[in-house]
Amino acid sequence: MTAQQRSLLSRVLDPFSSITTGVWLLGLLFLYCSIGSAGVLYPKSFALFDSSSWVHAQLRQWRPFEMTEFEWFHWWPFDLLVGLICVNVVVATLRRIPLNVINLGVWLIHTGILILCLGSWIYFASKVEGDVPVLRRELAIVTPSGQRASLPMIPGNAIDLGQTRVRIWGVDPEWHDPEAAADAPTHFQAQVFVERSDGARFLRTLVDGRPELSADLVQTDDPMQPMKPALEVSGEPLAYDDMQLSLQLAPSRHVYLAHWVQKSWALYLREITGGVPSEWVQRPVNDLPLYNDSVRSGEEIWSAPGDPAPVHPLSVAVAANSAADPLPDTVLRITDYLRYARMQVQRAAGGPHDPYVDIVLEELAGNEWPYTLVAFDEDQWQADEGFVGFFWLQSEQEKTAFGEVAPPRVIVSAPGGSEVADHEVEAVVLNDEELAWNAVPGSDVEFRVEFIQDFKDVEFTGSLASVELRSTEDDRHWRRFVFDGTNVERNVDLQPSQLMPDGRRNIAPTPGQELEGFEDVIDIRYVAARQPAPISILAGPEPHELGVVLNIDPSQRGVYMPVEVGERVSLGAGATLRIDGFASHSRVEARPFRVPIRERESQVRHRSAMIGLEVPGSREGHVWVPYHHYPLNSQRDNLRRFNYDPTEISMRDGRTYQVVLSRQRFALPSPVVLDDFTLTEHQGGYTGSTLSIRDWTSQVRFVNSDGSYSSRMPVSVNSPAEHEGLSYFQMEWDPPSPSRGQGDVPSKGLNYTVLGVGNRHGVLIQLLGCCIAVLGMIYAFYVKPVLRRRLIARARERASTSAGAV
Amino acid sequence: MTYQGKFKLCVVLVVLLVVAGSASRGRRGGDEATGFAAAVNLSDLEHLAVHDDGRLKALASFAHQRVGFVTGPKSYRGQSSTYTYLDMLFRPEEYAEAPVIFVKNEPLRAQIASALASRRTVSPEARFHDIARERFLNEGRISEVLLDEPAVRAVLQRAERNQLGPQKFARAIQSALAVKRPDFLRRGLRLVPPMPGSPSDTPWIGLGDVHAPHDGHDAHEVSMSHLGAEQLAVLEPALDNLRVAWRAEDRAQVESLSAELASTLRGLNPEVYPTASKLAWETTYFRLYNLTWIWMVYLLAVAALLIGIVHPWKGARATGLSLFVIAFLFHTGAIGLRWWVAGRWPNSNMFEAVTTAAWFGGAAALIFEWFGRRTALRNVFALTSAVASMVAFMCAYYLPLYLDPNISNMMPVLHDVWLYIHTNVIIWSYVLIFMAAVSALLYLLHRACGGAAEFVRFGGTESLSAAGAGSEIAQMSVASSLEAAQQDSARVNAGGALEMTAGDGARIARVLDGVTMVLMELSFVMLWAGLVMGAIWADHSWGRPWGWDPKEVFALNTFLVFAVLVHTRIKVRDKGLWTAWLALIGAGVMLFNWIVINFLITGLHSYA
Repeated sequence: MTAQQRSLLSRVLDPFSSITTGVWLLGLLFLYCSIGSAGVLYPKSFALFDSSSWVHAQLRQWRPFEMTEFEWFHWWPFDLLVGLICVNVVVATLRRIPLNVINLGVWLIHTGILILCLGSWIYFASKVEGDVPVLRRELAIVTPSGQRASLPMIPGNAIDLGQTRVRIWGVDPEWHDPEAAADAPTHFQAQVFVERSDGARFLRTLVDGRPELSADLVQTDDPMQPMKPALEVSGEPLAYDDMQLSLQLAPSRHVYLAHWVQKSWALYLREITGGVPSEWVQRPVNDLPLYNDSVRSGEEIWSAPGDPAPVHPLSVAVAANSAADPLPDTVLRITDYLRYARMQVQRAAGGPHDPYVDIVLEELAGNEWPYTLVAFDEDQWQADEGFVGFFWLQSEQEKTAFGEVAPPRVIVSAPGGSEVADHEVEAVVLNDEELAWNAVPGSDVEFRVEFIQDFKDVEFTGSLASVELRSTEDDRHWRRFVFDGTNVERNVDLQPSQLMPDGRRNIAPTPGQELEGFEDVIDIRYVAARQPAPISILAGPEPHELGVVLNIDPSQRGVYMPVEVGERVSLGAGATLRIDGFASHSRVEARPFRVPIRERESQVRHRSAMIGLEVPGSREGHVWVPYHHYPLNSQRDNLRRFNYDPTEISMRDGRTYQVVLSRQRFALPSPVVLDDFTLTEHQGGYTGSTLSIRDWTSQVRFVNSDGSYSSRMPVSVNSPAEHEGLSYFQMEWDPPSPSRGQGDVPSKGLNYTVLGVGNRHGVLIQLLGCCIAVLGMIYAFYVKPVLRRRLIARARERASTSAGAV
Repeated sequence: MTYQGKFKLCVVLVVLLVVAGSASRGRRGGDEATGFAAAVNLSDLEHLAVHDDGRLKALASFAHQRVGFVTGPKSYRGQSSTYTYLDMLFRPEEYAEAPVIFVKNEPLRAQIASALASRRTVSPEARFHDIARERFLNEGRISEVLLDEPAVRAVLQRAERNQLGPQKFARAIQSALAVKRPDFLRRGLRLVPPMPGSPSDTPWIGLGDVHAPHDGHDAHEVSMSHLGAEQLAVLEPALDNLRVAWRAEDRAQVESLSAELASTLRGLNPEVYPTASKLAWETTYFRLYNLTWIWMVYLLAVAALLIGIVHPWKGARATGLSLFVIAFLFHTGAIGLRWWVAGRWPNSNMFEAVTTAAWFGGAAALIFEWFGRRTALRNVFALTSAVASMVAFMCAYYLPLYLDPNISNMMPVLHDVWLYIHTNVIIWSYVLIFMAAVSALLYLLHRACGGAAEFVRFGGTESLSAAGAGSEIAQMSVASSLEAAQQDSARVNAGGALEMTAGDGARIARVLDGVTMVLMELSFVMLWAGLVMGAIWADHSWGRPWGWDPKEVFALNTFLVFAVLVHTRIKVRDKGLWTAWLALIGAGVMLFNWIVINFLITGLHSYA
């Protein structure tokens, strides 16, 4: 019985004692690794010698697989392959390689490999890796009324506390006390600007670890020195000591799992009660793809022309998994995933009568100018500086009448006068003294148009007519500029002497020089020449009708040509007009725009991802939720860098929630704080390039359970710190950044660090295995030959002595 | 024709082909500078120290990098980079219509050319003759005026939008245009060291930023405020004076101003200023094309060694070996000089990795030559190393775009003792793999000419030990089950492994197989050890010993190929042939890792 069993087992193991099996398994492993890492190259056409017919693809990222590198290398086929190799190694070694001095090397190598596999199994099965941003300081605020708050110490951050606004004006992360020795350590110094509703404004300087250096700058009436040290004004360093401001450490409590190790999507949910948000509660998301987009229908996203919408079914249920979840009974459902998208407002068909057209002007060289034109929108009915215009036709007759040229006109009337002089301006010559005067009916005033000028610049776009006026009764003689344009509303009278030849500098009369003119007597309107745009796109009068009138060649009057969406109209000289979309009834809609693959910045990866989320019981029903690198509590926590744009959900019961898509997190065994952060530079200091940096060092501490801090631990590149089973690595830093716009302040950087956090179970076993294998190789290749040579020599000796004996 | 004749003929043909092929590539550059450019002596300026991204460089090497950014790797009009840099700064108008902007990507060149051809209206300064077009398509340089043509701008805009392909080339053109701007060139000249006693991170300032202090001074002026009147009198007007003299092509004036400037700058803070000899050597190193022409010496060594190995002619062997040693000495000089100039061991970019790896190959070859000096394997190690070094330097010489010879600081993560160990061990194993592939290729050539299916019976290192191994010892020494197959073949030729009793063809086969095995065995151990060291480094630098990064995976793949080789050799009968093919495949995977993965599939290892 036992013998039979043994023979069965040994028969099963027989194939594994063969070297050939091992070679085949190694070959398969090679293939598996190559495909997973470098991807595959395959031809999409039969033109095999044309490089453009070859496509490179990462097989593991394809829709059926959807694997990161890490996941591909922990898929069951890989595990199976490695397992079979291990069995092969064990069986072949035990059965076929006797353990002796000569074979010791092979034994060592094989043993080492097996130990390595064991260590790797432990390591990868328990691998956790993520990152944690740690802020250097936060501002602790206690207002005179006893209100407490804290504010992340990031330049530009501000908080409103009742009637008081506190703003971080500037941070000097490496402030050097001018009174200290030159080589004294630097301090973290900050300036905080406080504005109170009672008008008090002061700037407080805070130095970390040196509270005695806190000082206020207060506002004075002295225009030469609007801000003065409080010490000089009142003799006290702090003018407003009822406002307590201090710097404190800011503990970080969570590690966010790195996405590239394993997909680690999570939704974060919180309730907003009376405008105050509660804490984010995590809901891990499994089975959400990472590489391939899925949407329910093409109607819910915007896509670039020629980029088909990725319509695929997707339904990932996300249930609450924590007692703290604000919506414990609501199962959210992810129905769409876009790896790289941004919300964009565009026009779509449907809605009220509001005709729009999407066009693209294409030049011969391949340049494309896309426009959306809206007929009834003052700012959008034309584009390309009037080169192309879009009009709605009321009647069939307008089709033929369209495109007639209307000359410029000046309409002059006396107030209350029923008569109006409608003067058609002919070509005018500057300073033409012979120009005829025209009477204004119902007054004693005469006028003539001196010149007409068209403007196209930032301040003013439109046309200007300079009208000269004179009274036939008295000596009054004036010029008036009359505008027909979008940006200027009032007419300006000028004395003739003020007029500049270019007619522009003196448009606004200087104060005190406003002279009485004909404002109350004469009303002048100027209607600039109406010329049809070189390209006029005409819609109507029927809802589906669309046509084009081209007036590019001024000598030929254009005729109406019906066009359809998708059609190309030649504009001559190789240029074309393409109609991409048209509707007579339209509305503006915000939808995610799926960025075409060729326009994606590669380093963005999944950071611009977006999901469509179904929320049962909500008024919205379906919302788009963008990816956040961290689920931040507020805009103030964004470290001048990360996006903060939670999606709001209003439930039918009137409650309000927020949701963001982010990564799974776990709580650190003890929170970490950043005591200090230093940058070590090469000679000449930081130049903006990483190459001028020698190292970064985060000095971290851990918060013990009793609230005290552990001793400082430096974390720098290539030198991690270990604490409670987790390793902390220097990962990212906060470089200096310029002001982000008006009202903002620049940052000198070094306000926070990002630490990598990971565990390393089994690393020592792996290392042991590797070292044994190395020893085995050295033995097999370099010790064994020597031993064997000695054996040979000894054998020869023995042979010769025995021969001699004979 | 006999086997031997065929083999020798083949080898000679290979030699001729390589020589002819390299000769046909000709010199690079081609243009000779004339007039002022040729006459003016810029050595004082070339030896100024410039601060650039945390490094102090000689102006010559700084200009080489910056001008290379604009005009591409080849010299512009045969001018020195320093000359071109200063000329673009002082006479920008000369460079508006001249073809100076380098377009790296050839398809993009073609698009630009066709856009220019399709224009309807052409202004006189924007004409694009056929000759100019041909030159542009070949050399890739085009003028700023032409790049500013609307048709070309449209091409570039389109390229810029396309992330997948030409975007980076279009962006490179934009940066070239930016670098060429006189104000950028002026700001780059950070020649003025900080005052003595200031902290080491005090920035160097540009020559154009030196102003005599006056009321309402700014920070820079304050830092300059303790300059002596004499120094200020030289520094403040230095750029303007130089410009005037330059534009007047007043050679003597330019040279005397340069000398004055050089001594004043050095005098400001002699402590932080690099020594004159270091700056001079750095300049020389760049002027000598970073000594990349050493490939020609290696080529001669290869030719002589090949002839010596296939033909029983001692003179060729001796010549080849001497040439190899000479080339290796040059090579050592190049590495040492770069080490000294850069202030760190040269292995942090592609240029350095390739040339340093080749040097390791040379060192290994010399060691093997010593141990194997009495065996038939002698001189083949030198040959394989000479081929590897020749190829490495040819790449550096002909492809400076891919193997950038400029010196920069290392990324912070690379400052680690394990970096030195890990990367050097890895590149050492890579060059050994390459060398093994050279002997494997020769072995295949030998077989293709009908040579005997011979091999060494006990692997490489044993063949290096001169004692022959009899067949009876093979039986007693090794576990017979594993090497049963070997016994069969051992019986075929019972003579000593490398005692040259058999015919010449068999001897060559055994020599080549032995060399392949020696190199393969060492590379096997080193590759594995290098991978382990990389894991140790990664464990404390990135937080994980192994991250399945493409570069890691393909290093593992290379190892897998050699693991297959070792096991296949036990099993098959025609061990030599299988070994040669697998050594070639291993080298292919290694090169794929080094070239394709590095340039096309980016990962964490993108530093080198």
